[in-house]
Amino acid sequence: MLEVIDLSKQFKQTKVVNSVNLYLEKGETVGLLGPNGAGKSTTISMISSLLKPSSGDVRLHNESILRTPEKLRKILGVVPQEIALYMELTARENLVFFGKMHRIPTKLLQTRVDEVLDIIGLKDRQKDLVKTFSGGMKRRLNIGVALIHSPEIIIMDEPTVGIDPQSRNHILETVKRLNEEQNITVLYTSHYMEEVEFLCKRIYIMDHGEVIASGSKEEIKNILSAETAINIHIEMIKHPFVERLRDLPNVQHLSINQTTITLIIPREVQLLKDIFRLAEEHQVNVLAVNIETPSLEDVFLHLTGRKLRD
Amino acid sequence: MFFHMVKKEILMIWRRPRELVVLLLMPFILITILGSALGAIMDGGEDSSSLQAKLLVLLKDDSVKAQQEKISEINGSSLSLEEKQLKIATVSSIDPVAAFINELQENKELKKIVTVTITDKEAKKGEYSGILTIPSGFTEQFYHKLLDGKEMSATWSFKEEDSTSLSATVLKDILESYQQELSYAKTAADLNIDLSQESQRNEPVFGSMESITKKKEVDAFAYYAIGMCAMFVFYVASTVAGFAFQQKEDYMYQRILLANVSPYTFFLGIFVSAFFLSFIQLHLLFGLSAVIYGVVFSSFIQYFLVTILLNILAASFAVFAAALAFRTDSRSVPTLFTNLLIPILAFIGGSYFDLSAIGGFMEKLGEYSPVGATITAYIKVYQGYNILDITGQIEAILLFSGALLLGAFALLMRKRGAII
Repeated sequence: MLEVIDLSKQFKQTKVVNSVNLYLEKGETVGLLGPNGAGKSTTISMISSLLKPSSGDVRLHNESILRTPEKLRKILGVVPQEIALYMELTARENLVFFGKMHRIPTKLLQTRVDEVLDIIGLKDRQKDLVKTFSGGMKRRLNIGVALIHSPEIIIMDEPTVGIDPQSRNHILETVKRLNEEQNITVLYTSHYMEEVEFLCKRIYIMDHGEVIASGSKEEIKNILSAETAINIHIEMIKHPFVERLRDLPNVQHLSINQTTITLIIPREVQLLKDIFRLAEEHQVNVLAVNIETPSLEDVFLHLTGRKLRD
Repeated sequence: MFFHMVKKEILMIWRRPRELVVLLLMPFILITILGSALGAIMDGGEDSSSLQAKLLVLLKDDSVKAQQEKISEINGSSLSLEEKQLKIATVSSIDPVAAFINELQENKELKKIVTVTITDKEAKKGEYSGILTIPSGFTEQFYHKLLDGKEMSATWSFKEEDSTSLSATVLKDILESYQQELSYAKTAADLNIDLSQESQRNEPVFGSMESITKKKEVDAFAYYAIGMCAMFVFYVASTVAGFAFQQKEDYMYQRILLANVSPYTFFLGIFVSAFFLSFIQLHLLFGLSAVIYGVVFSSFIQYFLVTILLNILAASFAVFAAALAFRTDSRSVPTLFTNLLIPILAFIGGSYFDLSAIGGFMEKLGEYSPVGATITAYIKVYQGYNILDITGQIEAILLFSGALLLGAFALLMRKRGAII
């Protein structure tokens, strides 16, 4: 349906996006992952026809949209990272305004506004000014505005940033429902791996302006199929202990999350004895140890050397 | 689409109390404060005690009797009938003492600044700003000098209480002005000009002032209603431009583009919004000024025309400011327009005080600056001038609008790869 071919963007001497290739099939939800500065937003701007690429092409139904973006814009809804709403207008007024920008006839628009308010769960707050909304409600309306013209494709750029878990779940459920019930194609970028795991069947991982991995969730996880993740839960982090763990042979990667240390090691290697020995030497109280297949987060860390939220 | 763009702008301003205060309340408060505070100075107001000159006219001359005697003398002379008629007409039309006193007592402008007391008795020192003594036989000698060229021994004498005081200066100026009028009358008589007609035309003594005041006076409230409207209408423009840039910053502009609205349509929306908002603002401010301060224009059609032109100018200003902000990608552009450019334009244009009083380059600069051209046009319309009298200002306003729109267009020309 939508295909991105060798897309690059250069600002003066800096290449922000470098030969990105990706595609979206009708009705699928695709994740675009990457740390800050990976080039996700620039890629999205180019895909949505707001920014001209330095080279490469974006094709809709095998037709370039670079010169004639109107066809794509007609079927595209974009949910930006920013809360792109008029704070002094009510929820309904915002939806009507953007509906009018899409030239939706008045009668049809009123019905569509009601539908969208139902989808985003803001019908009872439709007459309230947006500035009185919570962060989660604003995010929901932000999605609603992108839906007003019944798009076939939605691009969502981190739509759950800075909101409470309840609103986040509502948004995720909404996106899933839109995809499953209305067959809307979704390109979803997020800092939250679990969101992408929940929503997307295929994933692109970007770093330094390039796609460094792509495929289904399973294919991505298989990147680390030869590895094992050991999570060591300890009472308190002691740096000499961490350094000794890092120096152990076969430790490919070590990361710390609060009081949990994660080691990525080859599957065939046995390291438990060494771990307990070092813990005893450094008087570290080990609360639990578990061995898991690496998660997407581990894969991301492995590929980029950074955490997703870095 | 434009209807919804304008509606959105109106709602946004209406729901932002700060904007409402700046765009509506503040100019009205300034009209009130400046109109009241500076009214006395601008209008020579009655409460202006500093400009209250007290003049005592010590009148020892009987001008009516002198006039009658002169006419009898002419009738009894051996002159031809034609010469007699001309001289009698001259004498009848000129009574310097009566004309002077009449002018002091009847002229509205003079009445505001000069209080006249006429007496034939000496006054106490210190009670008056100045004492004018008109000696006995003055009128008789005046006619002799006027018609026969004889020398005068009886002259007016003026003594001021304090020669450095403003009121004494005002009185001296009045007397000098009157003296010039009398010299003119004498010259006219020498040239055999029919003063009965000339004097009607010029209404001697302060006739020239009368001819100026044929047009409606611009009092302080009228001046500042016009000045503040001409200034604050540009704040509507910078506010709309600020909103426009905020829409780019917060991605609403991009959303509008994604709805297949071209950037030019978006900027046309800015133009239309600024036009209507400034239209509403001006009519509210002038409406309030008319109801509360009686600032009523002489011609509604001409007022409406100038207002529409000003709306076009403000809308062009908004488009230019927004285009510059978009091109430079800087929020500081509308802020700079609001905090620096508009106050400067208002100063040059004369929103704070009438720069024509300074004269010279500043006067010309002010008259043809955007704010100045508007103020001049409004004032002339207020005074009742003809539309042809404001063509220069109309041209200036249209020229500024055109230049701003061309500038905006140049700024909006798509840079390779830019979002604009």
